[in-house]
Amino acid sequence: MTPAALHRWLPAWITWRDGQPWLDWCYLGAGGSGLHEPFFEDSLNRLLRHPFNRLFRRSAPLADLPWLEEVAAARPPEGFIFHVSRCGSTLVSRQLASLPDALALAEPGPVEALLHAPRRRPDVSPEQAITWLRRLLGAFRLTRGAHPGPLFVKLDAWSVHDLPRLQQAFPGTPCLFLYRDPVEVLASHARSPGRHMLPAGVEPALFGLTLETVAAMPVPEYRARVLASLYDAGLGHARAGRVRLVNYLQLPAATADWLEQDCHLELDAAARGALERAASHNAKQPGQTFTADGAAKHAEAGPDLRALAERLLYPRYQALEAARLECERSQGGSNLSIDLL
Amino acid sequence: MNLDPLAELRQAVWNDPTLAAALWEQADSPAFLDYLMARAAERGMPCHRMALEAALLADAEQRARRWRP
Repeated sequence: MTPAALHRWLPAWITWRDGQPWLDWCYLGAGGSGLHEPFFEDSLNRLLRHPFNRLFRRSAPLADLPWLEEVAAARPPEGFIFHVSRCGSTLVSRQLASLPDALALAEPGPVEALLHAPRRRPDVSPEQAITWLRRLLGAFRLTRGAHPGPLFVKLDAWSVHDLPRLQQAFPGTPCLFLYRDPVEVLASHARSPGRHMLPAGVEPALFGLTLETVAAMPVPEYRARVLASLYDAGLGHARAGRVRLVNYLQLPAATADWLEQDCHLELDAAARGALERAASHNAKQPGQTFTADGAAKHAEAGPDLRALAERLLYPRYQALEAARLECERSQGGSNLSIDLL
Repeated sequence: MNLDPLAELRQAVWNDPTLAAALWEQADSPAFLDYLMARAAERGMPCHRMALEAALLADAEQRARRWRP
């Protein structure tokens, strides 16, 4: 297998055989990123139904592809996006995908599988996972061929707990941590819960919980505690200087600031226009125009949810805001000051 | 011994971006399998229609496998 032979081949998923990760690829077709949907998995499902991919998907053990580490080292990913979910992260990934020749991966399963492998598989060491992550991201880099644009990865919300592992793999790649008012996040999950907001949808230990405590816990409290752990993780990483904090209310303008200041990308008028156009659409329903829904989410939150947020989440949210404002002050500028409750 | 009757053809597709792009363009056509067999025969890798149809049938099972631990 050569680098040129992986042009237009998208890493699709990881399977485990005898304790070793095998990477499967599917073909993207000609032209464009091939990732038109808001989430990686949705694009993948479309691509996999294509007759070509039904016959010609390919796979190989990552152990046989050490040269992919050199590909990744030569040009590491341009940025990683962490978040608390329902906080504008899909908007940001759609903005990034709109940049010329960019490949923006929104919650790609193969990255999640390798990032969390040491937690889930006793035969996988953290060092092995780091090596495999480098090879995987090297394979993603080759997808766009000889002259690829920037590569961004938006992680799953719970991956913030394993952010240091990804930073060990790519120490120079800037990380963003997005968060939002807790009532708005919880109201969104009450409408349609994400995987990590379903009790035990993601291993509870990741959030400092046990199966027993989760089983005895009302679902709204479970969601609040999961969100609390995500806020705590983001705050810890911010205090350690690992992430730039961005409040949902700073979007969409904060994306361009991050790209220029942290990722050191030069945005010309075309790129700025693309970012603005992408932000004008509903990120998860791209055919619809974006409308702010924070007030509606506050209106639909009941008193129990508000009480939970007051007790478990607003102190953490306020700590995140304080850390963000302190960081912006120390850098000599403030994008936005937000009135706290 | 490789028991996959399409192994040689798959290797050719994986190593030849031009062939892969050409097959992708034709893959939505009702005549895709005919086109594929013709390209394979040109390259000295004749493949039987039944092998292609069997591979397509096996695909659903392979895709389902990725959801299993």
